[in-house]
Amino acid sequence: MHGPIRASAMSRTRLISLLAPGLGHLLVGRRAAAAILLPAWLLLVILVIGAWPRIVGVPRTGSLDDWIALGTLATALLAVWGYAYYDLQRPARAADAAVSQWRIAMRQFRRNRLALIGLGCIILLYLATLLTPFIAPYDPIAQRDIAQTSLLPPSADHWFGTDRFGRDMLSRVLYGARISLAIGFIATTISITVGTLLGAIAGYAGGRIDAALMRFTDMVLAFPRLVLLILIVALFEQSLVVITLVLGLTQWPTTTRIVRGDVLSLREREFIQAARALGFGHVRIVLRHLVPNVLAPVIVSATLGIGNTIVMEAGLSFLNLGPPPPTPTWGNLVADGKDRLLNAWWIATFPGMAIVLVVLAFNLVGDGLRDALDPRLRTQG
Amino acid sequence: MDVAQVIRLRRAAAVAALVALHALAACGGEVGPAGGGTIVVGMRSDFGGFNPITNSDLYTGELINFALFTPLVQYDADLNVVPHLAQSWQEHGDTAVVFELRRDVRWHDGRSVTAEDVVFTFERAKDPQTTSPLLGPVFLQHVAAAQVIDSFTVRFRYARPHAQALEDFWWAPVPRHLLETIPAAELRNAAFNRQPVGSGPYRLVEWRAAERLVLERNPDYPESLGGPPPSQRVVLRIIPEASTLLTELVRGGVHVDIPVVPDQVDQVGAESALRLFAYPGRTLYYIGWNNARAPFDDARVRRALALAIDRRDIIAALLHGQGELAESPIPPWSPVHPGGVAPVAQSIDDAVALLELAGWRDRDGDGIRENAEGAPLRFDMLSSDDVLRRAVVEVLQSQLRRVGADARIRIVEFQTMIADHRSRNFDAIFTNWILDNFQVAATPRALLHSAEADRAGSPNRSSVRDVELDRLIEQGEAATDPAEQRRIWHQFTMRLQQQQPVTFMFWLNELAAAHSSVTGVEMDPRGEFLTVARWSVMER
Amino acid sequence: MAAFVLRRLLGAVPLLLGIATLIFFVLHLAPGDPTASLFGPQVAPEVIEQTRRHFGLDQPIHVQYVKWLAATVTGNFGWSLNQGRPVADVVLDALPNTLVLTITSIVLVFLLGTLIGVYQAVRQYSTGDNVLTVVALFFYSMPAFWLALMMVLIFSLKAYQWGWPIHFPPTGVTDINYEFLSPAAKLRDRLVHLVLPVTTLTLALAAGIARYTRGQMLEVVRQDYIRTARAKGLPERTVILKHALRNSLLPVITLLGLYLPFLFSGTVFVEYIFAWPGMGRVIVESIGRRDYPVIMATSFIFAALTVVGNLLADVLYAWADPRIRYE
Repeated sequence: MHGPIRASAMSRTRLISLLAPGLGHLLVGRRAAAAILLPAWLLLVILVIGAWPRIVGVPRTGSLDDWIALGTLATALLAVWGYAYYDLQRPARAADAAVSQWRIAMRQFRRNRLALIGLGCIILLYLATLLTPFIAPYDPIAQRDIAQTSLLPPSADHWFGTDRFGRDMLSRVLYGARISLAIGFIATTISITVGTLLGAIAGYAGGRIDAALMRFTDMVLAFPRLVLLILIVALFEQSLVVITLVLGLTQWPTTTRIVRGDVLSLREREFIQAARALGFGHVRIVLRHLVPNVLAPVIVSATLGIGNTIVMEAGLSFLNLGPPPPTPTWGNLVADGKDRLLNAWWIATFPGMAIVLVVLAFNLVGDGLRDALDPRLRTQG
Repeated sequence: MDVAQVIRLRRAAAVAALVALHALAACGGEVGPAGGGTIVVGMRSDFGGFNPITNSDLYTGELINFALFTPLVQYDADLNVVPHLAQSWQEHGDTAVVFELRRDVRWHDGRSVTAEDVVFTFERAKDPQTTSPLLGPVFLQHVAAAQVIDSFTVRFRYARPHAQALEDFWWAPVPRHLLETIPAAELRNAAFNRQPVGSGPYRLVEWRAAERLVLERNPDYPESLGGPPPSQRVVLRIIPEASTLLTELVRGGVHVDIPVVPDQVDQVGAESALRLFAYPGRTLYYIGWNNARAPFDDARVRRALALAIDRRDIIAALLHGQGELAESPIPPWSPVHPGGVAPVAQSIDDAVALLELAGWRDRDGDGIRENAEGAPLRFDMLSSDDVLRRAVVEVLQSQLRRVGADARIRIVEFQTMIADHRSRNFDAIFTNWILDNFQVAATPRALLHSAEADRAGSPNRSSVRDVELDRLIEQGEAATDPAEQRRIWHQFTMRLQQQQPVTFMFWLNELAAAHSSVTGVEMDPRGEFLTVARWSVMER
Repeated sequence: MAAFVLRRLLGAVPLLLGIATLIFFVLHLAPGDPTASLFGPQVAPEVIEQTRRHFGLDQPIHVQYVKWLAATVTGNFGWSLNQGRPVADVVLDALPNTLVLTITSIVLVFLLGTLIGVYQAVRQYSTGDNVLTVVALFFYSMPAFWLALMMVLIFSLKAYQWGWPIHFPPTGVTDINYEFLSPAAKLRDRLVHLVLPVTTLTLALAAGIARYTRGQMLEVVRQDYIRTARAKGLPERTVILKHALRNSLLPVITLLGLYLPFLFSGTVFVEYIFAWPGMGRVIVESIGRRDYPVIMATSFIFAALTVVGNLLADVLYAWADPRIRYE
């Protein structure tokens, strides 16, 4: 519990914070915040120093990728700076009588350490994918003299070793992260959009529309997703677009069921009745009143869904049905390495571990969100 | 049952599981044949029907020829034709041949193998209703008629004189008395194919689909052909995942592993108890340029791209040295292979010079060449999703980039690739061609003769039309003297190197591995199962 | 009760019909020719045309659909293009193997999952609970093929090379000399071959069940009737096991039903890597070779198994909880 801080000490601390965010927090004894801000700042500074040549080269020969990375870096620096500065200004948070459902949820979430770790990992990962042009030590698809560089074990030069073409595995894993995460994100977005809409319509309309929609949902749900995936990708085309679309269009049933259940119970509540009495159209009621209130379980389902999608895509790539070469995806990389488990274990192991860790992170966050948002589902008191 | 009982039951189950685990641990899952005489072979895929008339699968064909049936002729180590079912023959010029069959070969049900069986097999194979994929159209394409002279004498008449005529007969007859009642169109699906009655050193006793095939020794196999095999049983287990198969080989769960992937060669070498078999094979990998489409209608472009490719590097790095450069569809180990043709060596400078000469220049500085109209040197390279092919096209893409050609890789599922290739719907394709037998004239005709270029669905999918090549192919087909054949194929190869209608890449070595406790295993271009009738395992 | 089961059964029929239609049209809209794999490159186009006609592939698609549907309903699944034998035979060979794998897994998933979940709920917040949570989530996040590869690598290959007392065979249902073994040895052989594939399938799903059971138990334990039971002076064990567990188990059964599609998806990888001759492998291989009759039959059976499994779960639930029957 901190009281108001004396003015002069404050401005000195703020000055220090300008130079090194986190240090200021440390000085006033807010160690938790400092523990996050200071290392983040240091990492960013190291990155800027280490990748300086590349950063400087962006304005001249930068591709879209490089500009995005530059933008992300700049944003991250500003965010850490700004947050540290602003945070020092405000009085320390009093135990506020928070009323909003979201506030309660956020507080609950913050107490869940595992979920926070998961969230931290995810943020780091997405940052890494955006900053890949600055972080990746080599070009992931460049082949040099194959005979010399192929199948080198992990070393100072190549932290994750090289594959049989002599390509650096660390860079490939990083670039693979982009594809896998992008597929996961886009496919899940498709699925929750479709799922929420269908579920809301089913729950709201009721009667025969509901019955028909639920039949259709059951049908898609009963089908083993992997088999349908293999079927479509193998028979049609093996491209990123097809794979993402199919992944998205096979994941919506779970969301639909959840949303329908919630909408069914919400439908009879007073505020919906009031909206109807006021003459609001059905579409408006569904979109403006129902959907925002069912978002909570949808977000949980989405978070868990991203993990599932990444695993599915990896599985497809493992069966050689994933995106074509030379695009690196994690599943591709594991497939490359599975015939060399004995003499080049690093090719399959690092991407495999990456998959597990990322999916684990998403699952931790999803669990934490579920605990936080729905008191009925709480798994930790 | 109330919950308390459920709990007790569950605890009992847990205890039982622990006990079971200990029991398993006590004797640690060891495997190995019980009592000498069983050889276990690990294969990656299941077999097709064991019917020489309707079969087109490679390993099924090998088992037919070496284990289950008796072909008319066989090959020796120098690829000369030697008698087998036929104990002698008489050639009547180059128009006919008369075979005298052995009298001591019997079907597994006891009946004798006779000339009627041979002629029956011939007629069914040539019958279009049977849709025979290999025997009819490939082996017997130059054989017009067959005639029974007496119970053990057959006369075949050729349609025209052709090279390596005796090799038309490297196939085994089927029992007429078991198959004559089946209509030709039903032959492909006959129950016989899964329970074949053959005449070879082994008989098929069990076939659990996708799991295993069990062969048992035939004690009545005639001594004149080598006698009954030393091993009592040969079990072929189907294990699709290559790394699991290798694990089983190391553990002793299988004695022989067919085939081995090039990537696994190092792992096999590291195990002292394993022996690697590597020998030049019948599979030829090549890049097919679609000669009917720009820019591949210009021979200079084709040759330039061929010069940009470093085939040696690919063989060394991706095949781990398990391959040989290919300059033509004539295999290096064939007796009629023309020695003395220097392989095309990679030369970036020559490639660049040729492209410039053909009018391809990098006019806008993006690293890709454009022609005078500004169209870039960009095309799709088609490949199936097979691991080796994917690897090769990745390297090809990178090599072609160096001379300013942008090859976009298009990976499609195998059947789709075949469909696109067959319908000539591609720019460039990296694929393979497997020789069906050792007659070398068939492949050049099928792949490169202009008469095939117009026929829909023919093997000349690159639409190759070269008058000079046509002439040489026709000469090569008709020449019956090996020295003459060699001379013709020499000219043929030179022309190929110059024109590059397709760019031949390499012959892939066949790879297999066996445990050192297995004796009698020899493998060469004739097949992996060549000496299966003499395989035996020593007790370890 | 009977009425409930009947209603559910009738409801399943249009579901199965819809699935069958979906499969049919996906297959037939795909490019490529199913007969392509039957022929070498030298075969004349006329011969190919003739074969297509023989298999009825040249007729308009709705005609093919009706014919196929009529045949399937009467049990005639057609003829495998690649294996040259009835599809029914292919399925009958493969299905028992898959069932052995999946039923064993489901039973173990249920037992293991609920055991761990109950333990975690009873010892909430202990170190054991936290460790189990992380471990459970770890396995839940692992792709099935990765786990399978690691199992082969560690428990089969490395175990053999490093001379561990236990090392398991990575492939096959039985040893090659199975027929020569004594009955006891036969049983042991089958169990030994089951260990690796079943473990791979079970771990991920058991983790999910464990977490769910834990959550359910925690919620149930807060209910009034539990407090009453405790107030009555019943021993804690009876309270937990007889009252709390029984009420938490029912939703778990429904969850098991929902997990069936995941189980079958996992089976595909496990069967491929462990060379287990089951339906998963048949599907993957038949898709690779475009063996349409086999693809349709096996996909349909997979889906049907899921529907049946869910039905069983529903029926079990209804039997245990009478309120559901009148929904």
